[in-house]
Amino acid sequence: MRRRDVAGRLRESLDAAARSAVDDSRRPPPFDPFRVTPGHEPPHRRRRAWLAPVLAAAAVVVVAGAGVSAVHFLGPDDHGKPAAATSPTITGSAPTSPSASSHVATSKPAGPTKPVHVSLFQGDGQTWGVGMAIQAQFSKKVTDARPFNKAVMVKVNGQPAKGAWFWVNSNNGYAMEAQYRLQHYWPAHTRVEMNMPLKGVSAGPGLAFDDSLTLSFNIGAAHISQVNGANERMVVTSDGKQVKVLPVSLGKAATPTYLGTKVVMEKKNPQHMVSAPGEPNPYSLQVPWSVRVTLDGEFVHSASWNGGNIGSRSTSHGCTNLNVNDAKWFYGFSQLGDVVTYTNTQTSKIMPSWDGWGWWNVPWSLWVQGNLLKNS
Amino acid sequence: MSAVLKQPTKRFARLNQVTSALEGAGRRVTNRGTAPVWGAEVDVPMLYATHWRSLVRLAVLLVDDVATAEDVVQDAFVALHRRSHTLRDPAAAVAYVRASVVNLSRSVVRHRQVVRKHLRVAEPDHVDGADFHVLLSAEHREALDALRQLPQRQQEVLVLRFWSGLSEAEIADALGISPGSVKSSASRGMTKLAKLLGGER
Repeated sequence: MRRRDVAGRLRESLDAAARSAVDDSRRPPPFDPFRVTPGHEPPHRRRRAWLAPVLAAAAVVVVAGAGVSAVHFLGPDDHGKPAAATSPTITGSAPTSPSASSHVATSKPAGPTKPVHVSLFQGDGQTWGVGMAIQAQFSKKVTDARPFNKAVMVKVNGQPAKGAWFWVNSNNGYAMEAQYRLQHYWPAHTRVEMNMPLKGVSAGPGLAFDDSLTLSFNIGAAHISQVNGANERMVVTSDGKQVKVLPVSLGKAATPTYLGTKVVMEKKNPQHMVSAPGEPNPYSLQVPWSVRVTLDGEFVHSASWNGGNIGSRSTSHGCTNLNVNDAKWFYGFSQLGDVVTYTNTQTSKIMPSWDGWGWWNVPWSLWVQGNLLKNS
Repeated sequence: MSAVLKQPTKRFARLNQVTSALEGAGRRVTNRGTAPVWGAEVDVPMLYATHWRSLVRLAVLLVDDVATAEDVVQDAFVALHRRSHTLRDPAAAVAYVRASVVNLSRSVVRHRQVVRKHLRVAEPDHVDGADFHVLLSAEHREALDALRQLPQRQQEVLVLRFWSGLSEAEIADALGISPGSVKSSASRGMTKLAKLLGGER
């Protein structure tokens, strides 16, 4: 027999075997990310090995109760099963057997649940800018967002808000975080109230929240500043009215300023700034009047040394340089959560959503879906 | 000192720009350098829905038993789910889960062999463990039986080659062996198969 014939025959036989074992109408059982075949668990899960017999026993009861031949389905049929016992008709119904037993074994309504503790970044009575998002932090990874979404209610001036939660990994040491924002900025001069009656609510299979929270904070004036690299100007507006136009100097081509919408995260006077490791001209300076807009270190700050370029050229390491008096004014004017937008900088890169408070850089159509968890 | 100041962490973020604007959140971490880079998320349930059947078929060709094949695929997806947050390249997720299926199938087969070896009561030499075999024509059964007589590695290579239709490089990735080993395994396997099948004709 020639090789080509062998290959063809093998291909046909494999295909026939695969199709006869799992025919095209076969549908997968619902995906349960926590069901592991006994013996295949990662080491830290093996401690719960005693659960398997208990669940198997429960499965026997349920399956037997359903009037199905439980013994046939649940017997260890890996090896040693007489071929004659499996007639073609039984084979036809066999597809349901493994999934039936596994499915029953995986639904764990009675099993012990692990607590997920929720905490909030904001505090009651604070005032934030219109670009702020509500930030919730979780002690354990939530695996199902829907009960959370159903339970949590956010109101703006007493009216239910139509925002959405966006589920992200934490880089503050929490297991997970979620951020809530509306499609557009918060309406200015409003009161935001949130009720989180989460205690006992499911956070996914085997998980339940262990605390309930409320939050009430204020949204201040709408401070939106537009920085344009084309003319090195920053137009500062408050509640839609232009307040000032400030000359700036943005990041040079080698260290450009991100595009996109940034949110004021922190104000410091002075801010200690250190050059990146490996920077050709290292520096370490205390910089007065610094307003932080990205996590990795973009600020809007005073730059007394750069006066000649402010308003005409992009020469910075990525920050937005202002003249000292302007920086002092902007520092006093800014509230945390204010919005600063950047256009025409020396790059095409938009500030990543995780680099600080970059949530406005995620399109609303994606935001509502929920990212790590599906919102619906 | 001509220019303006940034925090030291900037440089790392610049290196990390491969990540899209959609990933994890963050703030107040001063050392960007140690912050993880999150790949775009892997949609595990979607992969599960679209690839479940073909992966169960792959597993069944390796372990010969539908129930075990389903368990193997379930375990492979659990493993993928557990790592989905660290997997950098979502496009590689299918290859990853396929490799898991092959590895888990191999463990199952080995475990079975060990169990058999230590059983006090001898079993019949070859038990037709695969219920679906009953439905196959004699010709197909003969080919599969011949395949079962090859060493495990050669079986894996041939199944991935002729049923999954993978290239040599992809097989090498899935099995964690060199392309040269893939070639030699395939060649030896085919020679033996030809002998087994041809001899009876």
